[in-house]
Amino acid sequence: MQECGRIESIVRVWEERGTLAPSDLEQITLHCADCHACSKLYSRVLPLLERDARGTRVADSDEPDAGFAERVMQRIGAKAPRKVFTPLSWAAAAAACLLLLAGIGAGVLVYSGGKHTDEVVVHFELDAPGAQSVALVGSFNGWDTSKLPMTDANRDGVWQITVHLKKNSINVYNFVIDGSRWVSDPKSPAQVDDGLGGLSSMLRL
Amino acid sequence: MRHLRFAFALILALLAAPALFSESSDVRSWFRDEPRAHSYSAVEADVLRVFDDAGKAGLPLGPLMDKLQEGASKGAAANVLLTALRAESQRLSMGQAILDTQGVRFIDPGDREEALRAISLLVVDGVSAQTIESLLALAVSVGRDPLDDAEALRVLAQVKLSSRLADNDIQRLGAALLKSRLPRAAFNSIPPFLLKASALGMSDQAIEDIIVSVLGSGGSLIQMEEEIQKRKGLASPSSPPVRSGSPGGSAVGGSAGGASAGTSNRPAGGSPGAGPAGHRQQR
Repeated sequence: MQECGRIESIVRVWEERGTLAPSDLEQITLHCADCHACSKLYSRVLPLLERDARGTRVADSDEPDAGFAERVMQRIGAKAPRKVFTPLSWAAAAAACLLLLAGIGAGVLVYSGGKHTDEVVVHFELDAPGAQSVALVGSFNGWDTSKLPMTDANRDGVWQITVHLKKNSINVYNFVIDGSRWVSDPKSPAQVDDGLGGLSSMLRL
Repeated sequence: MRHLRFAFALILALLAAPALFSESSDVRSWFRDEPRAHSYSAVEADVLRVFDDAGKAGLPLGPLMDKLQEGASKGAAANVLLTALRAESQRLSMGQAILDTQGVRFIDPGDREEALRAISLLVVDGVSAQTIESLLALAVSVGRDPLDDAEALRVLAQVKLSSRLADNDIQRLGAALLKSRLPRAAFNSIPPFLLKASALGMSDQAIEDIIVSVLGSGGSLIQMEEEIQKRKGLASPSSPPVRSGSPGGSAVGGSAGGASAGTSNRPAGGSPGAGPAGHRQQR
């Protein structure tokens, strides 16, 4: 440990003065060969110590010595830490991607929400006395006859339903009476040939 | 860094792939999962080809899926449904060609789909491709926004389906609408106005003349109302518009026939801008 202290003193003097005697360099080199701690501590400055012990300080010269570039390149090659992608870095990359996608998704939702969440409440009525059931079926419910059953609460033959439909949309629809009889809305002025042999009603919102 | 970029691209691709193929896979999952689909197994390959071709051409598949569901729900015969799908695809394709030719671009694909639906309905009801194309050319020349074009197409589709106006009448009306100073939001008022005037006993042609002349002179919707009252000498009705429309009991679908149903004409309680008598809207 005493030796270590002496070596430290030599290095400190070198740091202050910028010069080093060849004998001091020899002492340091010999000590580092035996002392692992000092070897590790001074491994980075040892080449500088060697350079200054030879009296060829770069700061004092415009041109580096002949082997300078080679030594630097060697050291870069030897010491440059290799980038290794650990599971943690993969997880971080994935998390970053997901965050980015979530952000994009949120943006899309906000954009579409501002535009397409506007809905119009539409009340449909069909006068169908004697019917056992009436359903509203159309492009807004995938033409599913079971999704929008109409009601005749006071049994006056007028079947009703109120639905929310998307604003700025074209809707085509029919009524289905007793599960099998398809009729267009008789009082809707906009009737369209459905291309299937019948008529549907059109509602633009 | 290269690894990070690769990971990012991989994750994006994995997440985007299902979205890209979801539309065309809708019809396949329909054939797989829908109980009614077995009635159409004989034309499944042809139906899938219609969808695949439409997808490759960049057409929206929503209207086709809609027609497939409608046909199956109505119990249409397989060959009838296939014909209807092909016809819809052709109309959409024609509409897309018109939009592309006139350089009408929409930011939101949903707006484009709605515009194509409107064009399809116009064509179904006898409006020619030339008329639609000339209207869009006019819209572009007067600097209308593509969303104005889409709304005008929707309005004209409703007007056409609700009236006896011919192709050239629709062209006149559309041109007057697009050249007018009316903002897009006001286009919406034309179909109810037509219904209201029709309920007063005016012919579709006479109403169209008023709309075209008032819009052409830079007039407003109020002036149209005044013009109608002046010509007919009638006050504006307090009841909602009622139009006879098609005769009650129009039977559609396979075995349906002679339905006795009719919509009630209960007061809508809304503005004259409320929808047809069979339903009412509240915004």
